[in-house]
Amino acid sequence: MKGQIEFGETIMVVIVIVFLLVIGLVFYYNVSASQIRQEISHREDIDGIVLGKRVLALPEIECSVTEGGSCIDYYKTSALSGLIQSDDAIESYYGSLFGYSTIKIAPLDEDELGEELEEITLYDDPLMGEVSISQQFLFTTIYDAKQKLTRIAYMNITRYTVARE
Amino acid sequence: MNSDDDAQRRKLTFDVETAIAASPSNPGVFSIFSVRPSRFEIACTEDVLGVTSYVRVNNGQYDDSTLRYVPVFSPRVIEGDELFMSTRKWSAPFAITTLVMLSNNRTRYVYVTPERQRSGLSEFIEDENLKSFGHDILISDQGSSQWDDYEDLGFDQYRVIFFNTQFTPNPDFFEETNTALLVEGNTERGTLTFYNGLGAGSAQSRQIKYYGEAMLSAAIFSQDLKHFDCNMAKIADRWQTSIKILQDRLPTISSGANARCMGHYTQAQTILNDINLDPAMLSDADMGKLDRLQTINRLLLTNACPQVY
Repeated sequence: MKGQIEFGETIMVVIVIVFLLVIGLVFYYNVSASQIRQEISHREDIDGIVLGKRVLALPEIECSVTEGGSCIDYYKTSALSGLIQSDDAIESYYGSLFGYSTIKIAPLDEDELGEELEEITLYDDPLMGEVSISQQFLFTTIYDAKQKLTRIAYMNITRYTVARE
Repeated sequence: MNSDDDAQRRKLTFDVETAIAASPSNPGVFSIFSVRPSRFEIACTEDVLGVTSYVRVNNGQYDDSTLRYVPVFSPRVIEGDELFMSTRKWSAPFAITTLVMLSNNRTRYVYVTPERQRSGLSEFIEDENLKSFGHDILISDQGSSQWDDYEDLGFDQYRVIFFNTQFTPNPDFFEETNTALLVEGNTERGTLTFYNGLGAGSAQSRQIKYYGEAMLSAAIFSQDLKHFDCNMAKIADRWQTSIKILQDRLPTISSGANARCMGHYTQAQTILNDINLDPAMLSDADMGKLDRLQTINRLLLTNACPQVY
């Protein structure tokens, strides 16, 4: 009888230990998964910023030499947008730079400074199907050569990747 | 062990190609990459899709898609534990693309020039970030030329740039990895002739023209004319795109301009419609058109009109 009781106690101890181990593993898994999700999100933010920087560094849309600094030219950007839509070879080249993404540039409204400038969709190639979408915003200056005005604009970068389970 | 070596080689190839492919986003920057001691073969070649480049590490497999649109000027082979990379924006006269120059600390650049050209050349080397690549400047006209007395310092390869002086063979530098470039002109424009060695019988290429300091820098780093031409062929499409952008933009910025400026815009449109699209085949007439476009841009600025580029 005494032996049976001791055996029962031993079994209970083992069960409690296993239960605690399982709780610990579940907790560890959840923490790791959360850290991994944070890391992926952080990397997606960086990838979006890298893409934005790539756009801002394009020599073909930079401001004229007199403006200098980090600045893109509104009408060059608009012209490039048209070429990407109409020319397959040009679209292929910028597709290799931008991948599956949508890049829009929107000058901020500044009523006192002249006419409004429309938003430009520089590039638009979304991925279809089950996708993960990440979005970043960068600010830049944009130069209106016709009105000779420099404005603040924001770049809306949407990146598409295959959805993770 | 072999599979580990393969994995490490593949990773190194990927890392190097990714770094090179990302570099055009940062023009005017010099970088040093520390890597496992390796042999890097950098080539520019043609395939069914056009011109492309690749980096082959330790004779392993390579991928020729990553660097398809990146102009990379370098020696054919670089060995060692460091890679030096410099990026420069090329404008002719409007900004076209960013050129990537690649080398390492085991390649020596030897500039041979007359005394009167030394300060201008030194300024060019300083401005173009070439000072970060190991180099010597030798004087060609001091009694017996300093180049005659230059000795092998134990580098893997030597690239000798004869700047407005004659190509002079040196019997101490017969290794086939050594090459030379003859530059005739100033740092902005002139002619280039590539030599495949430093011996008396070294073959020379046809003479080509260069426009802009960045293009001269690219020629200094190129293994030979074939490598230079191949990478410049990648730029032809970028040049064409830049021209189309300016052509499409011109009607908008010129609308409502005064008569004087309209005259300039009309000339600019004519030039843009007529520019030769092969940067490796520039002629004096092409350079004249580019100069004219630069002058028009300055005149428009003087007249407070939007500039062409």
